Amino acid sequence: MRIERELMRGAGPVAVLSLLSRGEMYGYELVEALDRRTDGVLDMGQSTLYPLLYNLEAKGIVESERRVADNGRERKYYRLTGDGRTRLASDSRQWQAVTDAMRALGVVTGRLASVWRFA
Amino acid sequence: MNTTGTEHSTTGHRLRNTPMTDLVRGRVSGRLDLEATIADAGLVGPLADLVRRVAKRTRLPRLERVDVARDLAEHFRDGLAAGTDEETLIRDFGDERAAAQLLRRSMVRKRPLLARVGRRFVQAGSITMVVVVGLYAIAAANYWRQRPIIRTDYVAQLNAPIAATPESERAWPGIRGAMTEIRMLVDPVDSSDAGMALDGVARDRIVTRFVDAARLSAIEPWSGPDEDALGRQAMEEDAPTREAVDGLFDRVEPALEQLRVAAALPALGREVTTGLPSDPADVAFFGFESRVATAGPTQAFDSVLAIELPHYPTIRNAGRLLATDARRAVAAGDGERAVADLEAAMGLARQVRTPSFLIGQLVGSSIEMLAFDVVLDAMATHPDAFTDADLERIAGVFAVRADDRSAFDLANERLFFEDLAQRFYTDDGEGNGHLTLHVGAGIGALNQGGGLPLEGLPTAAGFLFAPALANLSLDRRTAMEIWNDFFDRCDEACRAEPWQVDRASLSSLDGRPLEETMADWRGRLKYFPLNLIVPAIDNAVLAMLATESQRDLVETVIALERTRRRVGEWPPSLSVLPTDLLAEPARDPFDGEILRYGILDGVPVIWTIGPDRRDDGGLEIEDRRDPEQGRRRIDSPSSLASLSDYWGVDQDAERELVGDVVVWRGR
Repeated sequence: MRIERELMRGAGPVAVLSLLSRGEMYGYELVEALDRRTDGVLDMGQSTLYPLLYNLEAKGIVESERRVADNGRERKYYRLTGDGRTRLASDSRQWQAVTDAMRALGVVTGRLASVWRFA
Repeated sequence: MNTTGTEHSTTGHRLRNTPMTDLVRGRVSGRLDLEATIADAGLVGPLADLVRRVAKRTRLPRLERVDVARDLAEHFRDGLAAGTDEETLIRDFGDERAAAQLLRRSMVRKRPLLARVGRRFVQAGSITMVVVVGLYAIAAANYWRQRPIIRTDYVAQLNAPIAATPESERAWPGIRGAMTEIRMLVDPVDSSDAGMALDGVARDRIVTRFVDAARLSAIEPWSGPDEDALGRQAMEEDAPTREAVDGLFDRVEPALEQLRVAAALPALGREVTTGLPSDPADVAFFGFESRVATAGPTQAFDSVLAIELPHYPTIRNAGRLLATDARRAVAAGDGERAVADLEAAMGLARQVRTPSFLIGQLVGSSIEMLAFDVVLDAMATHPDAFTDADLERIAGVFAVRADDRSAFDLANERLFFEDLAQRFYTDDGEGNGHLTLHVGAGIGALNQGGGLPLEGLPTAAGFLFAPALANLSLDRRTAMEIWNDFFDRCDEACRAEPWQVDRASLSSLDGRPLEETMADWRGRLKYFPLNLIVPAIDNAVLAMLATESQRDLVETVIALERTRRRVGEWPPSLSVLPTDLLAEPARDPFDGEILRYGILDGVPVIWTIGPDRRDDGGLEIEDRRDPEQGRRRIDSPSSLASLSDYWGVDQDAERELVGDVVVWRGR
């Protein structure tokens, strides 16, 4: 199932921050992880991911470093900054509140809520 | 377009693709090379094309564009390595146009604060520029929408009163006929031109030489023999002999009589024209036959700026002939002929002043000055040549001029700018407009008798710059006001007395000294073309005032002689001259008091206090200045006119010029 663009705009950044909270990742790895961990719900192509990463970098929430990977090729790795961790914690609380509210209204089920607890 | 690895590796290619910051550090990084970035990722075919297209569509600076391309290329490379096929990668990528937009925005947000502020600044500047250019384009369109409209035929306006003058009242045909006859009476055998076929101009030159010789051989100047002129004449090997001069003047007497008759007529009556004269007799007289083939009007109305006045030198020559004949008459004791000659010279001076061009006024003044000199010299050296009746008649001739003190008329001089304005300023129908681009070339064309290229599209540069230049120069109404104000001040100065004239005002335009309006490009542009055509009016006005002062002096000297005859001795003071002989004695141009007078060494002497503005009892000036400073020396005795440089309320007393200047001395 594809998520509406407006929803994706709110969910995408916190999802990426959540993935990076476990450790640094490169672009393709992030796309793969989002697809795999959300059963394709939060699958985002490059055209969405890289602008999102650039925006997070501009805000100082993530930082990148280009270095030679194990396969001998250069890659750009992204990781959370201190601000990023603070932001993730704040966003997580907000999403939890939204989810609880939606559940109370019967809009969301336990399955969707569990998706957001993958971290 | 892909490039080969060989091309990527060349130094020139890497140099072209290295940021300036790297070059400054001595690194030829080549990191602006988009194609190399794609190639380094090992991408080919559709994926490489996709990266290339998206990177270019971002419209980011090259360095940022390559960063984006590298990220995308690495992504695809990782996808391929993970076993995803090309088609899936391209499909999953999404809409490339939207991607390029998002990438661009996010990359812009990533830039440092300074760069973002700079970008906003550039954006604001660009918008401002667009607005300014837009407004300028509107102004330019408005500028080019308006055109000059030539409404008035000023040449016809000038000629209207002339055309209305009956043929019988026109002096010019008689003057031309007399001067033609005099030309033909010159005997080439008398000169170095003997044996040559002479045209009218060459014959006029010979007449001039005879007149010069005759002037020197007739009566002496009141101030004594003109040693310099006599010396120059003595050096001339082929100077006309006294016999030859006498012979010529005997032969031309009928022609001189024709001149006297013509000079008594009410008007000169010669139409002014641009290019060829309208009268075929004038064409022949001035030797313009060769111009027939090329001349002709080039537009609806010819401009007054292109008017030709070839008759002025002729009339001045006629005046010189009459004044010289008067000298000869005085020397021969023929007072009646001398008076007739002087009367005729004054008549020519009156006639040449109409139409009232500045140059015509100056020609008239110069002829009058010739007549005045004759009287002053005659009163000193040959007073007995004149009977009492002759003196009364001469006084009457000059008194006519006295009643017409503002004879220095510049009304038609004003037309020059009015005509120029209708040709080079646009016309909004309400007396205003702006300067057009044609003015520079147009003035040159008019001066050569040509017309004005009113039609035709402007060049691109002309289209762009002309409105700006027009805004930097005066509009038509303001320029006209300044021009008229200038001539109003001239008229006022002409009515003033020499000691009252405000010279600074005369040599200023729009309240600024004339030279200041030409001193820098802003002044030159603002007052263009006023500052190009404004005449050297201060000198002209001073020349007019000098003529008037000299006339007053002549009248005074005549009254002095008549008083001597009446009472049997020189009067003790000019203020006692009988009022039936002279209403008022001449005034000193330096302070407005009656000219100083006394019997010095038994002879009557009239003097002015001179540039030091102090009466030294007739003690003549002693010029202590270094002549090598290039300043003109003041000689005494001299004429009042020669002192006019020092007149005016704004002229300080010249303390170095101690003493007075004698302006007439009897014998």
